[in-house]
Order: sequence, then structure tokens, then C-alpha cells
Amino acid sequence: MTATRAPNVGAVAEDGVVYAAVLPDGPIFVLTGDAAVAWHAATGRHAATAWRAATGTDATDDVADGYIAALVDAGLLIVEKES
Amino acid sequence: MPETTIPLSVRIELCRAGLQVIADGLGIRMLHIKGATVDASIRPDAREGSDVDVIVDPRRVAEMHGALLAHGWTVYSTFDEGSPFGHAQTYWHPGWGYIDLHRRFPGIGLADADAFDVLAREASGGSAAGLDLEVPGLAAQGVLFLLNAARGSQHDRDGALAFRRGLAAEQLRLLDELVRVLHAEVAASVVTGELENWRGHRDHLLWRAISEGGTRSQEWWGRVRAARTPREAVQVLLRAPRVNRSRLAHQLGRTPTWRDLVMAALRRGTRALRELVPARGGR
Repeated sequence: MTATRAPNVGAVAEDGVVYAAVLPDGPIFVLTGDAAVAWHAATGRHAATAWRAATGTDATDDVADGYIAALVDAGLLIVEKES
Repeated sequence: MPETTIPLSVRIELCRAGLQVIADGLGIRMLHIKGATVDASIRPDAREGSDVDVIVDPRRVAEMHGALLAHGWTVYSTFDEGSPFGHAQTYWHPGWGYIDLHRRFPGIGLADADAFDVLAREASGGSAAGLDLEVPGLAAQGVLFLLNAARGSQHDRDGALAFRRGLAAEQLRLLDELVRVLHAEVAASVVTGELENWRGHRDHLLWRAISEGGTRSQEWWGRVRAARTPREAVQVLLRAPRVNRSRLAHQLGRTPTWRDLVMAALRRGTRALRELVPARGGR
């Protein structure tokens, strides 16, 4: 799955934590640990590959896609069609 | 997910970006000022404060106001209730905190819409939380820094004067030129210690009261003198005796009753009379 930041989503990364919100109304989502890694990995690259590279773990596509799907559900990311 | 405290600076940056989304949705031009948007060459330690400040195209303020209310913001204090300049309206949101929506900047004498056009003409690109926004150009940021310091403490003025003195000749020329274009010479002279050179100017009394810590009455009288039109002067006079409903509500922790308003008006009148006597006797 390839995803990218949804329109009007603001995000601030600080001390390994990502604070992201669909603006202007929010709420602010606090992404820590793997969720923060998934956020960084997801923008514009094949999420599972990028996530595995970022974490150094041998995650399956299902695991990586699970994190991405949660962020998509929150409105923070949108899925891009595979080219 | 464990509960995490959101740092104020993060909340402010997201709030700033959210305001921009609202303005963009309406096609309203807006410039972000103060806080982390100030260029490092002006304030090397620039960081987000406790609120967000923006200048909105004065012709679109009513639309922006409506949009803010629609997105859950409430008015904390109105243009009329704030400073003697009536320059900003403060809003509060339970999730984002406070913002100051400016329709003008204190110290600028040029008509609001014209002044905004001057500032917007040289605007630069910036960003907050990854979203694009606009900030005033470098010279304009310098002018706003001076004008803000003119209303601030002596420490603020010393900092602004040091900044001014540190400018290269061409930068100083651009800064002074913009001060002239914006009709901001009187306020800027507070920083350079040359305010008395403007004695007799309609803005002089107001800036003396503000910079030297005059009484509230002197400030109001200065505001009447500084009015740009007779109509504006009358409006200021009519507003002077009014009680600041928002401030009173914050002090009381509830909506003021008519009795609260009457009592506050009486206290205000008494205070004004007390201020008037020594002011006359002292000169």
C-alpha cells in the first residue's frame, strides 16, 4: 500500500513523537513508537518496504499496512493508487 | 494509546496551520506575525508564544469571524474592548487555545486596507505543521518588530533599537522607507527616543501615554486625538465610558448582570475623575 498525507493535515514531529491533525478542527493524534515510524514511512513510498527499512524489522505487508490503514481511517493519510 | 501531554508549541503550530486552512477555504489573504514566524535575523530566539497572531485582509474580517465561529471558536474580547487601538479581536477554542485576529497593527497610520496591501505585496512564504502560509517580508517584519516594541517594555525597546542599529545601510533605508509608507513614524520614534520630535502630531499624546505609562484617561484622550476622522473620534468618545463586558465576565467567571454592568460603570467613572484631578493639577 502506498499512502500520502491527506489534504489539510498538519503534522509536527518532536522528540520522536508525531502530532498530527486534520485541520482546522482536529483532534490532535499523538503518534508514538511504530505509529510514528509508520507515519514517516508512509509518505509517498511503498509503506511496507519503507516501514521495514525504517524499523529494521521484518514486518509483513499485513503488519505495515495495518498501521497505515489506521492512519487512513483517522483521516491523516490517503491511499495512493499503485502505479 | 497512552495519554500524552501535547506541548504548547506543537498545539500553537497546529493552530496556526488550522487558521490558514480556514482562510484558504474562503480565499482570504492572511499574514502570520509574531511567534515562530519571525525571521531569525530579527529575533534569533523566535519561537511560538502562548497564542497565534495573524493579520487578516481588513475587507474580509467579517467573513473570517463567521468562519471561526462556525469552527467552534468563541470571542474572548472584541476589537473595541482590547487595546486603545482597537486592532485585534481575541478568540478562544477549547482544543487550540487563543488567537489574536488583527485588522490593523498599532502604530500604522495608513488606512487599514491600504496598509494590508503594502504588507501583503512583499509577503514571503512560510509554513506551519507542513502547510504553506504567508508572512510579511523581511523589511515589514522589521517594522512590525519596532512597532510592537514601542508598546512594550523598556527592555523590548532596547532590543528593537539594537536590532535597528545592527542593520546594514541598505536594510535601514528599506526599513525607514516602509515606516514612512505605512505612516508609522510617530510610533517608530518611541524606539529611537525621538517621540518628542513629533509633539503636535495627532498621534503624539497616545504614544506618550502608552510609552510612558500614562493613565487610562490619558490613553483614551490620546486615542480621541489620534482618530483619523471626526467620525472615528466620536466613536472613541462613545466607547470610552462603556464597561468591557468580556473582561468583566472573565473577572466574575459568569455573564455579567445589568447590576454588575452598572456598578462597573460607576467604578470606572469614579476612577476617571480621580485620574483627571492630578492630571490637571500637575501641569
